[in-house]
Amino acid sequence: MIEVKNLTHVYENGVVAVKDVSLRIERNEVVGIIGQNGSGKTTLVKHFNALLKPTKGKVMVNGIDVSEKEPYEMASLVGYIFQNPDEQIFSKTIEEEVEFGVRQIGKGDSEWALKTMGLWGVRKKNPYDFSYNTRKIIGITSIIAMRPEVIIFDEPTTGQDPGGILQVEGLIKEMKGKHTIIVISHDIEFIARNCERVILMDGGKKIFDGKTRDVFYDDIERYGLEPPQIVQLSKRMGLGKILTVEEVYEKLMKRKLKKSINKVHKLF
Amino acid sequence: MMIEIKDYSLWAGGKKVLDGINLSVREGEFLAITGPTGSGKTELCYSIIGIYPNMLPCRQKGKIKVCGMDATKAKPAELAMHVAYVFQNPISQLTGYGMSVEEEVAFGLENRGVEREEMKERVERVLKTLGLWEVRKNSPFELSGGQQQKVALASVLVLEPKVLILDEPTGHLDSYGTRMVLETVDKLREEHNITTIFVSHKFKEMVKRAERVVVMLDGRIIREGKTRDVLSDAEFLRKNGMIPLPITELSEKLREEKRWKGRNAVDVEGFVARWRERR
Amino acid sequence: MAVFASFVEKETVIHRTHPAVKIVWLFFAFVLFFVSKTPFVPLVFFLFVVVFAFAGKVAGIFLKSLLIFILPIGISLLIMHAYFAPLGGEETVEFFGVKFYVQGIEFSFLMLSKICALVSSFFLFIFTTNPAKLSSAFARFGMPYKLGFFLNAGLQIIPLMYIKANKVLEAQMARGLKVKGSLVDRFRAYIPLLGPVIIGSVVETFERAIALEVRGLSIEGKKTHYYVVELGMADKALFILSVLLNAGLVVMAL
Repeated sequence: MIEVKNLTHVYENGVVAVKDVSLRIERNEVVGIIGQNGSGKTTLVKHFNALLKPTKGKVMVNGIDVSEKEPYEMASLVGYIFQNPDEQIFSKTIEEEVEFGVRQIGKGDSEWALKTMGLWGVRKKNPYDFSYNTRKIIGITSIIAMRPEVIIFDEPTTGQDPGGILQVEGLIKEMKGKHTIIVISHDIEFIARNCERVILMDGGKKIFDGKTRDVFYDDIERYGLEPPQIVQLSKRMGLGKILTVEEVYEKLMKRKLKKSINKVHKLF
Repeated sequence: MMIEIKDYSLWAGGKKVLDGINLSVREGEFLAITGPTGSGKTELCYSIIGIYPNMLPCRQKGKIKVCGMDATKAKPAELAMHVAYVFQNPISQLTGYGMSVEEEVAFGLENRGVEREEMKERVERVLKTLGLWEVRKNSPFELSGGQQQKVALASVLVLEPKVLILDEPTGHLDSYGTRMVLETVDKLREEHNITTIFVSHKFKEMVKRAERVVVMLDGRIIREGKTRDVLSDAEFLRKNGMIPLPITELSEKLREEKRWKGRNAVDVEGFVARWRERR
Repeated sequence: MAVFASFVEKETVIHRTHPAVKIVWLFFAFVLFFVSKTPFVPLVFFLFVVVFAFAGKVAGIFLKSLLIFILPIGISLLIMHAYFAPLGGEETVEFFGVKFYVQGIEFSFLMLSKICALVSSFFLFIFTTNPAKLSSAFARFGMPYKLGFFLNAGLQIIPLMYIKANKVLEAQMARGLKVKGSLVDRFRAYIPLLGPVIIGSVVETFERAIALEVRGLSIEGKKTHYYVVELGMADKALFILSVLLNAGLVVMAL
């Protein structure tokens, strides 16, 4: 689906932001990309919709070589949800804003998108009448309305309060299995809850790439990242490679059960 | 008391944005303020630094005393001598495009008429503490978002304020940057007994540092108390639109099966210690 | 990234020259704009500036910026005065079967030469003067601190808006906005940029104003400077030389 072959990207000022990265993302995967500021996450992902072109190497999306395409040509296939909604919103009503992309590419469903994100009732209002949180949701809505196959979330939780975060999670859950989803985020807990696969970038290179479970139990502290609380707990208590509250709960209950059984055995 | 707020209400933009706020902050305290968007956290901070009423039209009732000054009457520049404020968006705080990191950091000191020798010393110290010495000649706009936030922080820390208000300062930072920034604040508290107000949604960081947390909703303080007491109350948090920490949710779940008694845990160490006690 | 209309850090004679000297050139460019009756002197001035641009190693961005700015103005002037000729005139000349008024052509050329002199000196000033040092230089000339600061800040709005515009452009392109193609396409493409860039800049400016207050911009009393830009012997000499040279040019123009 998305194939990256030996990608290197060097910016105008000489900074090598991505160094010889190769990877493959299959259809309908939900992939998280983590790493410190300046690790190359955003640079890598901006190749997927041709906002950036490779300095060396190749990036193919559904067999299309991005170096031969302009961003507007990739927009119907790859939707990129930017971090700051205020750098995108310009229409007088939420409805117009969400329809903008749909009109540009000539396909999509803004009504469905507005209803899914709970904005249908306020669609005639001005985006700036609402909080930053809501504007971020509007930004997301305007991209999903275009129904692209690939959806990229660039820091979906920054600047969001918990209510907004839950809304985004709900959306990702709904889109699982129907779209390829890529999430760039600092929010390790968010990634743990929502992504099956994680890629860790550092200094422009791909360091880890694998199941979320496996990557988080590897030495990510070395790359300046703090593992999720559950992972830390599990490491402390030797519970194995678990990620969610439910899994810890099961493990602890089983242990209790085992201990009780052992106690009973000892009695006899 | 560094900050004393008594029965403070604020009307702005045609509505009541703060309602009967009562809050006192001791010297050297690390206070966390949390709550959903629109709860009035930023408006409260703006009131403390004098942006309301000096730069934004509003109506105020009640009292706010900051370092002995009446914040409803003093000018922002006067309050600025004692209180520093860091925004969530680092770009908003940088003075412009042409300055380098060290010039940016020196700006506040220039305004106060600090002598050059002392200025250079203080700028160097802060830059080294925040790991910005190598990039001091660069333009902040060439740096990553996290580094920009460090520059913004450096530019206020160099002023050695008595009170530091951090409004979601780590929103754009990764965990390394977050730790770096907060560890610097820790050092400052140790060395200068700086009073810190930390507005955030990041419970993990609050648990580590804040003795007290204030929860706001719809312009009111709906809860105030010891951080561990408030953030371990999973039901309260959920009811008011906040997400409890995973460890807290785990304790809650175990409590349902009568496997957990007393206060929920808020961090890994706390959980492990309590779990082992049960044996 | 070479951002439009902002300081380009380099180590050259031009960069090291005291801002006061550069201000002299800027000042005389204004004077020439008003007093020149023929294009000769402004063009000589302009030539000096171009030479300085090369000496300052900013020729590339300098010429590019100049072209972007001057070309549309030049074309509009020609069309306005040489073709429509609201000032009247009798002599005409034919190019490719189209009649142009000679007086109009002369007038356009004069205006263009003056504009070139003015705009080029402005650009050179921006590209080779460090804003922080500029504030200090202003202060030494007794300019009120706040005025100097806001003048400086005003100059910096352009590159800041440019950066923002780029980010907004990316976001809109990612939504299918076509920015290449026919002239109409390109023009239509810039409409979705205006709102976010302007609103965003306004919001940012407001937050910046608060941030500046909190860092003590309005504090009364003496201000000091991180950089002290002394007027050395060489600078003083250049200053006097520049004044004399430019005064001479003005006299020639009169």
